[in-house]
Amino acid sequence: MTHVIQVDDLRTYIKTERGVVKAVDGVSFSVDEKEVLGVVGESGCGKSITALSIMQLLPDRFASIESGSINYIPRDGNASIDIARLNPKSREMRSIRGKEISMIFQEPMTSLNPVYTVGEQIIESLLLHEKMNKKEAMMRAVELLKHVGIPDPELRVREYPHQMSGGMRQRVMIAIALSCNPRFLIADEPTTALDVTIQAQILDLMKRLQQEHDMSIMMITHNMGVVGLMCDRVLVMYLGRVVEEAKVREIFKSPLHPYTLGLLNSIPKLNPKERKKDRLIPIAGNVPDPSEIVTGCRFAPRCPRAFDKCQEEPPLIEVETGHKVRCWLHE
Amino acid sequence: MNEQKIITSLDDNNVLLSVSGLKKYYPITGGLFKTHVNDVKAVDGISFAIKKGETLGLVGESGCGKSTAGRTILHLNKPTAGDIKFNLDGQMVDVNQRSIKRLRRHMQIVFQDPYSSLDPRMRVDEIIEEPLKAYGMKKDERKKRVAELLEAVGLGKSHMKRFPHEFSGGQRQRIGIARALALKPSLVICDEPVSALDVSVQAQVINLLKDLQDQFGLTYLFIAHDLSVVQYVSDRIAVMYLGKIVEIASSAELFLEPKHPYTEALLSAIPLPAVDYDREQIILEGDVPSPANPPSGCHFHTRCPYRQEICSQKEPSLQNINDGHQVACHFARELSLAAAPVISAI
Ligand SMILES: Nc1ncnc2c1ncn2[C@@H]1O[C@H](COP(=O)(O)OP(=O)(O)O)[C@@H](O)[C@H]1O
Ligand SMILES: Nc1ncnc2c1ncn2[C@@H]1O[C@H](COP(=O)(O)OP(=O)(O)O)[C@@H](O)[C@H]1O
Ligand code: SF4
Ligand SMILES: [Mg+2]
Ligand SMILES: [Mg+2]
Repeated sequence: MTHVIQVDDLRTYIKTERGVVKAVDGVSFSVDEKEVLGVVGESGCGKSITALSIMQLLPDRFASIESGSINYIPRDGNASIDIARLNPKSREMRSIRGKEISMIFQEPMTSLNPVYTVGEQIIESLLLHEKMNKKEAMMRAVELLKHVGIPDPELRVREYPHQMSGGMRQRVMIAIALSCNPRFLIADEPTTALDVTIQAQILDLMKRLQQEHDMSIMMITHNMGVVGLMCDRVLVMYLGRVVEEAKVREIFKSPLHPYTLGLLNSIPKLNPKERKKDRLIPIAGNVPDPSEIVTGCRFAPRCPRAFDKCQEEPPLIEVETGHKVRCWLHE
Repeated sequence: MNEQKIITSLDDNNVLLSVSGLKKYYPITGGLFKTHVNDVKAVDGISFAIKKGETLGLVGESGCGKSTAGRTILHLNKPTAGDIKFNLDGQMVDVNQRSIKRLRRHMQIVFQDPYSSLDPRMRVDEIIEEPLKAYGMKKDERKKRVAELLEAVGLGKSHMKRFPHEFSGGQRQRIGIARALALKPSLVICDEPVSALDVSVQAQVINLLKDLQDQFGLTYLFIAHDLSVVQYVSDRIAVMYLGKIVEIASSAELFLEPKHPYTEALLSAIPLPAVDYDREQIILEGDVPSPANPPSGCHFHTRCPYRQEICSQKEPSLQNINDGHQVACHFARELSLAAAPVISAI
């Protein structure tokens, strides 16, 4: 398998009033060609900051990549490029961002510009990356809107974002992200703000486009259901670290990390026949404040199986081919 | 009028709340003189009853009128039309502008975002004490009750003197619940109480709500959009679409034998935390239409995979299909719809 992206020991820190938050603290993973990699974990575990690091879209006044590498492997067999070393504003980074790697966000309204029409926003990246004139780009924009399932694209292309529903705006974001045929799409909670029937539409669309375009996707979500529906492999993150990595089937059939197990047990199962019988098994406590320094296993304060050894931090160990876990129970 | 008949068939003694023909329209004004041009029909003639001690789930996509229904029942919004009756010591009392003052202590609400509903300048004990004060409880009694409530919702005495911002989302929701329970209500309307929480904390709060229900014999109207959560907490479930109830049934029956095409689609759209399960996803076309301009006939006909000619012409009424199973679809008896996908083994 050829990788599209290879992240090694990435550390992205954020300076806050209360001290430095190690939002991403030694994260390594890779994404294969045509693979959908899920990244799950509760809010604040570093999913978005990982994604923004890859895009070099960190809020630069107070967040920065401290160390590690993010290698993008181009499709033509050229040497890989370490994004972590590029200046976010450099020409090289701009030729990757939006063209090779694109991103869509949870709330399209915050990333769409309210004063430009949808069409104007789609052609922006076409004009930047492709050799097209304005008229050609506008025609392509209409095609793209059609491609992502927007009815009456010739009319819709002239509308403003606020004239559209949440689902339609997410389709527009997807159209923009796909405009230059990227190899790698990062989707940060793309359906979290949507209703379940609209979520089903968008996930269905993403799946179809992923296959048609032979894209790789990094699917960030807190919803294990979305993982089950969309992903081939999954990373589970907790407090800036990867605690488990496995094929999706493995995660559901034999989760190893107590945090993964805790997440799965917290979800109410659909079990209409015997609803009263099972009680949910939550994880104790809350995700700690990120500025609190935790030594040892970061999950230990909430872990039902913590023991002496957990005062030391366990390494991420591959226990079976492709199944890695960071826990002393699985040395 | 059909709808109202159904309601009276429930045994009144067991009914805590009954709602019939409830409407809430928000006027849309336009033009230079702000004249009334149209209405958002947020809640458009809903009828249901909740039995003592049960949990009725209310589901549907955003904008279908769930919150408006909850708030209107409590007269936090003035109803446009309809009857609301509350069982006070065996008497069905009309809930109206006048009686609500007296009834409010028996009917409380918990909101989705506890942060916006808690006064940031007040300490936790003051927040919980406030409704007790309003009802003239003496100081030492109040202190005792506050301590009891904090314990009931799983917060310690050490939390009493802190401000809301010092708490996590889950803890703030516990504070909101404690305040709602302060006056020993019998009905609690929970408006998306766990939607903003992370799953591990969501499970804590769901368990808490269940424990409190057992402990104090509470009755819940549980509003949510997450069907797995609703299925888990509810005895019966009502499904709303564009201001109307399209189906009500016991939780099990709704998931195993849905009779409305919209319910079927909602169930099939739930992403399950599993691989290899049987499912054929029904992907509905289009967006939810605007409640200011709902489609003619059956409001769902623009997205319904089973629509026929009559569906755009005539509005189906909510009818009894089975004992306690009500559906508003012209073809409810004919269609054979798919049950919710189930994970066979985990
Ligand atoms: N703009 C920001 N300012 C301060 N802290 C931030 C900012 N963005 C993220 N963080 C912190 O970085 C950590 C990781 O955040 P994030 O990657 O957004 O988490 P996730 O996407 O998994 O919910 C959290 O502790 C969060 O509080
Ligand atoms: N105060 C209000 N004024 C005008 N329209 C409102 C108001 N509150 C809600 N609405 C509208 O009423 C409809 C139902 O809203 P709501 O009850 O909040 O739905 P839900 O809780 O199911 O998401 C929506 O179209 C919403 O925009
Ligand atoms: S009445 Fe017609 S349009 Fe409405 S749900 Fe039934 S079949 Fe579909
Ligand atoms: Mg995020
Ligand atoms: Mg609501």
